[in-house]
Parts: sequence; structure tokens; C-alpha cells
Amino acid sequence: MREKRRFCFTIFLITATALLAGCATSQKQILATNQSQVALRSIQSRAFDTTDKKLMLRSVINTMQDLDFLIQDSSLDLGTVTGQKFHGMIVVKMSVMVKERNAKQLLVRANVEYGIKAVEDPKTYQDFFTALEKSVFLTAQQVD
Amino acid sequence: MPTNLLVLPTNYLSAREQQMRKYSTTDEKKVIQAAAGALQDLGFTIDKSEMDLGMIVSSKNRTAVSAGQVTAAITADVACVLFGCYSNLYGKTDKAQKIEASVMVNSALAKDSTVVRVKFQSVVWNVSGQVSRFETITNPELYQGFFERISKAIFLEEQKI
Repeated sequence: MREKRRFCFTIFLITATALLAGCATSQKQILATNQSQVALRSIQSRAFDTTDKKLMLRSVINTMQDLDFLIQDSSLDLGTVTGQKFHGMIVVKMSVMVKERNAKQLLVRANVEYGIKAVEDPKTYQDFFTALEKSVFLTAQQVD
Repeated sequence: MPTNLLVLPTNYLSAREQQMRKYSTTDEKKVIQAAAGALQDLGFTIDKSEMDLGMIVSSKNRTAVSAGQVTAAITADVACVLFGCYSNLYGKTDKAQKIEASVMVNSALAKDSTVVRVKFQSVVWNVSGQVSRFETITNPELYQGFFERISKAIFLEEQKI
């Protein structure tokens, strides 16, 4: 009887530990990035020589639509645009933020999610900024 | 992970042709209201909207059941049972779909006119509750019907881009 109770207790301990450990790994994802934050920011951001935030946001929207995204949300005040598209059975989500960098420039930052993974490959973002450059007739400048 | 996620697709100009129309007015608000009305005519409910950037996001939930698909699946399942095996093709048949429509109205794209761009997408779920497919709707009649409704509301003919 006593052994049985001990056995049950052991099972309970193992299950509880596993569950708690599971909790820790899933919550770790909240603040996790693969790249260093500085490197990632540099990959995802470009500066443009304009201060017309509304026009820039409209160009971002046009570019995203040309890239097959369905726009799901936008806000001029906050300077954000969010969209999604389908890649087979995978959902690709993208959000872009436009904000003032200094008196003469705007900073555009994009981030993309592919299914349950963050896209951190520089080429993907470069492709987006190349398309955006064509739409705004301005050069996208690398920022540190 | 694919590396060409954000490369401009080769058919983006033909997509524009299908999804965009321009109306010779600069009254953006009037066009946005007409677009919202057109969406409601088509049974969509407005989920989000923003006047500053001319955005309307809307959706509708509808059945996706197709009699042919269900009959074929049940026939196959029954045939399988008769031969002594198990199959659940019925569980994979389409049940419900959510169609999303996003409209962007922009008067900065063309001189003295307002450009409307719309896109329809749908997510289809099967009887087992799993997502069975994602679709971008390309049916030209749906797009044309949408633009004609805006034309009627604002008394202006739509023009191709």
C-alpha cells in the first residue's frame, strides 16, 4: 500500500515537472529572437528622405498589395500597416511601422512571420525595400 | 523557409488590373462610403475601418458544404467499410468558410481621381474543424460586381487602371 502511494507520488512529481518545464519553454518564446536585436533592427529598417508619413504609409500599402498581401489593419496615428497572405498552407503575416527619424527623414521598419517562425533573413527584407523604393521613387538608406 | 517571400510577383500588373479601378472624383470620403455600402450589399460585415488611409476590412462567414463533395466522400467511406477497411473522407469535406475583403481607397495614386483596390480571400474549414485550404479569390465577376456597385452609388463610371 505504502509503495503504491510512493509510486503515485513519483508519477505526480514527474508529470508536474514536465508540465512546468513545458510552460517555461513556451513562455521563453515571448521575448526570444534568434538574431541579436541590433542586427535584426538593422535588417528590418531603412530610412527615407521624406517627412510625408501619410504618403509613405500609402506607398507601403500599395507595395504590400502588389506583394499579394491582404491589408488587415492600418493606423495613420501610430504609423502601422498589417497584412497577411497565403503561401500554400502557410500564413505569412507582415507588419510595417513608419515613424519620424529626424527632421528630414522617416524610418520604415518591417517584420514578417512565416507560419510559426519569424523571418530573419536579410534578403527577404531587402526585397521588400527594393519594391518600396520603386513605389516611392526614393532611395532606401541603411541605418545602423 | 522560402527566400522569395517578398519578391514582386511577375503577375503583379495583371493583379492590379483585376483589383483596381479609378473613379474621376477627388472626394475620397464619398468613395469610401460607397465601397462600404457595396461590401454590405455583398453580405460582408465591416470589421475595421480607417478614414485617414482609406481602409475598410470586412468579412462574412458562410457554408462551404458542396453536395457533390459530400456524396462522393460518403460513397467512398461506405465502399471502404464494405471491403473491411476504415476511411473518414467525410471528415475532410468542406464545412464552413470565412471570406475576408479588404478595400483601400487612395486619391494620391492618380491625378483628379480616386483609386479603389479590393482583394478577397477565404479560409475553408472541414467537418473535423481543421483548416482545409486558404484561397485568394480571383473570380473576375465578383470584382467587377463590386466596382459596379460603387459606380452606381456615386454616379460615376469606373475606369480600368
